[in-house]
Amino acid sequence: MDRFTQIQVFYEIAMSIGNSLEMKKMLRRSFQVYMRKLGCCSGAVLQAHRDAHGALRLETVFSIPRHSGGLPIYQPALDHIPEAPEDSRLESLMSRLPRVGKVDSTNHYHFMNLPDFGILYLVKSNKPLNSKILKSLPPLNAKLASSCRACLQNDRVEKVVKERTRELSRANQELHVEIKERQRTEEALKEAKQSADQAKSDFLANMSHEIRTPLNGILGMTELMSELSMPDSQKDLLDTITTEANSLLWIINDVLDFSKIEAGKLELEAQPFDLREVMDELMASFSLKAMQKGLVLNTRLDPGLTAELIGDRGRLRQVLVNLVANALKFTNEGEVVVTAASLASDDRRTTIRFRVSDTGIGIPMEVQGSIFDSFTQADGSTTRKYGGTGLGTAISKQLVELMGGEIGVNSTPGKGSTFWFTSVFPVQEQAAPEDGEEAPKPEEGAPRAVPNIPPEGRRILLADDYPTNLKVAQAHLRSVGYHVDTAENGKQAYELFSRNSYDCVLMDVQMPEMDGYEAARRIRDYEEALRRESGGGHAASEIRRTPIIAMTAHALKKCRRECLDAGMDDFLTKPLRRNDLLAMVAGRLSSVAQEQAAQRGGRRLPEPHPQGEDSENRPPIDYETALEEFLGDAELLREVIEGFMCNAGKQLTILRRAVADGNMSAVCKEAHAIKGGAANLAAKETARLASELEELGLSGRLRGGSEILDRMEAELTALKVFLKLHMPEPPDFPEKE
Amino acid sequence: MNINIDRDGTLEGLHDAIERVLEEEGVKSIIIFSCDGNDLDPEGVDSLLKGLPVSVCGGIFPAVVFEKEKLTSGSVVVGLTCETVVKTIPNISDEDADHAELIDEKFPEIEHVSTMLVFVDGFAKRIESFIGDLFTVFGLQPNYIGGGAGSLSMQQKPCLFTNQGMVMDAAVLTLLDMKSGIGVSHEWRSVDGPFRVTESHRNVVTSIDWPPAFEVYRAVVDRHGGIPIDEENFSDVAKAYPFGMARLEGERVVRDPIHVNPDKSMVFVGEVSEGTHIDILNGDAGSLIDAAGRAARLAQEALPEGSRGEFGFFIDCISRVLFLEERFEEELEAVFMEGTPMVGACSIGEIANSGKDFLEFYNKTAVVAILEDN
Repeated sequence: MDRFTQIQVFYEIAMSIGNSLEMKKMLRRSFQVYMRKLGCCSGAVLQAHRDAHGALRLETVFSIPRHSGGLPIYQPALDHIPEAPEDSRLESLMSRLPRVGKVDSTNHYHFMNLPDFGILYLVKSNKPLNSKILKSLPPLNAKLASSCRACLQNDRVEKVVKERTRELSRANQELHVEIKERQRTEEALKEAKQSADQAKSDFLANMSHEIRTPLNGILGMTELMSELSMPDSQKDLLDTITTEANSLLWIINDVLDFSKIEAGKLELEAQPFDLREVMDELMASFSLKAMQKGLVLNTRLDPGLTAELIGDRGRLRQVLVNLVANALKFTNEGEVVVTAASLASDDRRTTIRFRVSDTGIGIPMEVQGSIFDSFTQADGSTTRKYGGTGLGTAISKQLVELMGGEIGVNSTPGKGSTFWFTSVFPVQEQAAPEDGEEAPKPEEGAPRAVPNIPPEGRRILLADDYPTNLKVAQAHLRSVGYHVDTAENGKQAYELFSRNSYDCVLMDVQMPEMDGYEAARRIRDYEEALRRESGGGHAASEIRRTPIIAMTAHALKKCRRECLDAGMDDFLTKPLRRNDLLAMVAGRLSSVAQEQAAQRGGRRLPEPHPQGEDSENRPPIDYETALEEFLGDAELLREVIEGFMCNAGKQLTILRRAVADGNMSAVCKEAHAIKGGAANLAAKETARLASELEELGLSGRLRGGSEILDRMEAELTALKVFLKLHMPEPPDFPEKE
Repeated sequence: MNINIDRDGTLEGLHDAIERVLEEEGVKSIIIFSCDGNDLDPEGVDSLLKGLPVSVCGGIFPAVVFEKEKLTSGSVVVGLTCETVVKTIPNISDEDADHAELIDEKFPEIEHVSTMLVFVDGFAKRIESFIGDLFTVFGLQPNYIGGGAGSLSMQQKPCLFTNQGMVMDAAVLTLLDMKSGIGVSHEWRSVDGPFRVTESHRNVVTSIDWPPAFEVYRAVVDRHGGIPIDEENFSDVAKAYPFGMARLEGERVVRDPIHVNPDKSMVFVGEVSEGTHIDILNGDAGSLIDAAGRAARLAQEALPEGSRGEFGFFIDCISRVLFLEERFEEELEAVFMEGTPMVGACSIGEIANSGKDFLEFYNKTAVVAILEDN
């Protein structure tokens, strides 16, 4: 081997060392070149380190071949180092490097120092590396050792980096988990809040219900008491109780409405209604109050306004009532004017702007912006001075928004306020009326059917778990002659029903043990079973469907639907008003009678004569119809007519005084009573005149009232004459009232 | 061991030759040396290989050796009665592949191996690295003999036979439970050098001592041979002037230049690492033929004591064929041993170790293995 070749070989080995900082990759390249160039057939790079006991250990970092049958690759060579005992051979080896010797007859080993790293082990066949080469190799070996150390260092750094990366990743994961946890917590909080809101809403609804129930009892009792004769001082006290109880009821209704709106549970109805009726009712409700405060209350409808609308009449009325009540509350002199005008309109819908203007105390500019916020009045003192929850405007705002409109206020302190709101209503489709027929009025606005079946002998089943309610309703029903059985829950009601025969059932929906829905369902099943047992023929049709009227404090649409689904026929909203209760019961009994008459081949009650019919040629009473209504019981009819005429005489006297005094409520009350009685007897003209008078009373304007009274008196006289002439046994009329 | 030959160079001929070999009792595997000049439909060959009932290795080579004969068409099929393990290592050119790991995975439980046949795609770009990794795994345990398969068209294409069909850019390793003796020799002598390879990548040398590789090379060749070399006559002239890479002991490892790029970089069969010192070599027919004979003798001598050589593998570089031309017959004659059937191939690069030193990928070298069939 010449000198050049040696230089070339060493140069190439040196060039191959340190080309990577990854130990395995670096040695794979450099050790292969090292061995190849020096003509070696096997070898290893060994790392020396001391174990925990200080003993020297050699670890094979890289070897060719990779596998050496379980023993260290250098072991056969080590076994040929004779001068040291086996357990100190490594120490001996390390102390004297390089070491060259024979492994077997052809192979020679070489142990060389890799400074500060370990040992380079090489095996060469045929002959060992010569001494010149051996002496020339240390710089190369030092380079190799240095490169190995760099790789170790790099490995440590990489481990640290990896560890840090792992820690970062772990921290990242923990952060991720924490974020997820936080999100879950937030979600849970949100759910808890929703749940709390729901609980609050339920609580409010339940509390309102619980408060309303005894309150209804109070109102019912006061209504009953008001019918008793008592000194004026007691009457005043009773009026105060009624007023305060009504105020409380209003507040509770506000709270309930607010909670319902807040919980998103308020559903708007979409029923046909007549805006004119809403405005009339508004006048009727507040004219007395306005009059008492010496205020002028007026309503004006834009003449071009389409009044036949579709929407939630009750909620529209509620907004108007809120605003008018406020206007009256905060106005001490002047007027309150309610107007409705069309903003935009087409065939299908109309946008109406309502305005409630007053000449009251006005609202300071700075609080006008928050006047529609919950529990807000113009200032804290307002609540103390004028009362109220401050929820009315907030509820109004939310109701208006639910109706697709806007609400606002313009106000000048000391001069007055104008609350306005807009609302969009679909317009009712106008069906062309047939000849001689009026277009049917919407059900909601239609007057209730007037009782035309005498209560005597009629048996009512009344179910309510609240004793006061039971007592009040029982008293109202008994006062007009119904026989009433009571039940404290649905189970009792059903048992009574199955043992007795009833003309009508009044069923509270919320009762312990068995609620009204279940009881109604059982009653319907019971009736159906009876029909099946009777064979489905004529007898079966005799087993009539007993009207069941639900009594519920929940005026929600859903509640009504549930009542109907349970097999009930109608519902009354608590608190029960005497007239409403009696009208409803009588109406239902009348419907049954009509159906039965129809089944017997009889005819239905004729429709009222249209206005404009020639009054000269019509009788003051449709006696046949009336008799039919009383199921042919002429005696009973006579008795009822006697009672009616007797009362009517007295009522006429009261009405004349009330018209003269401008006592609207008395006018309304007495006119209403005559209207009902006359309609029962099919004395249609008398009923119509009474209705006119009632409307005058409701409108707060009694002009023309006396003329109506004159006509009514004439009609009653004509009736008296007619009955004397036509009845087989004419009633006994008092000659003089 | 039995040998059958198909001289037609057709698929049917190959099929028949294989069938005849398999008729012999106890044949457990076959080796096929097939000529690049054959008219073999690749799909047909794939189908044939996949349908073989025994393991197969081998490949397509520029020429095939049978006894004293060089075939440029036809195939030689060798049937072996010993146990073999054949594995294919794919993606030899892949820069990121750790072939040692892959070889380790492929041969998990090899305790003792006598001889390994190594056939590799001669145009793969990391043959030397692969050979190094192969030695790293097995070390001196087996004797290695093999070479690069492929076509003189210089087009890389499927050229290795496996039971999965023909493959390319791969190596097929066959472990033979047969004792062997290996002899390697080339007798190329330095005419100038050493030069330092200053820029290279794999098998492409860009500069030598910084000037473009071909300029340095041309200067030496022109000065030595008298025939000016250029891009046109490059193949004809360069076959006589390979590179030689120095080792501390033994003959230089030869690298055969096969192409000049327009940028005057030179392409070799096998890698030439940056920093390598090379000599430019030359040889004469007589010494080359002598070298082949020497390789045969070395193989015979290297056969373990007590073993009897039953047949020989002769892997000779195709560029030696091109260099020796008609005189190649003399090389075949020099290698031939009476009574020892000789098969082999004229390859694109040779793989062998002497059984005592590091495994190398050679060019322009004669490699002879004498094997003892069990």
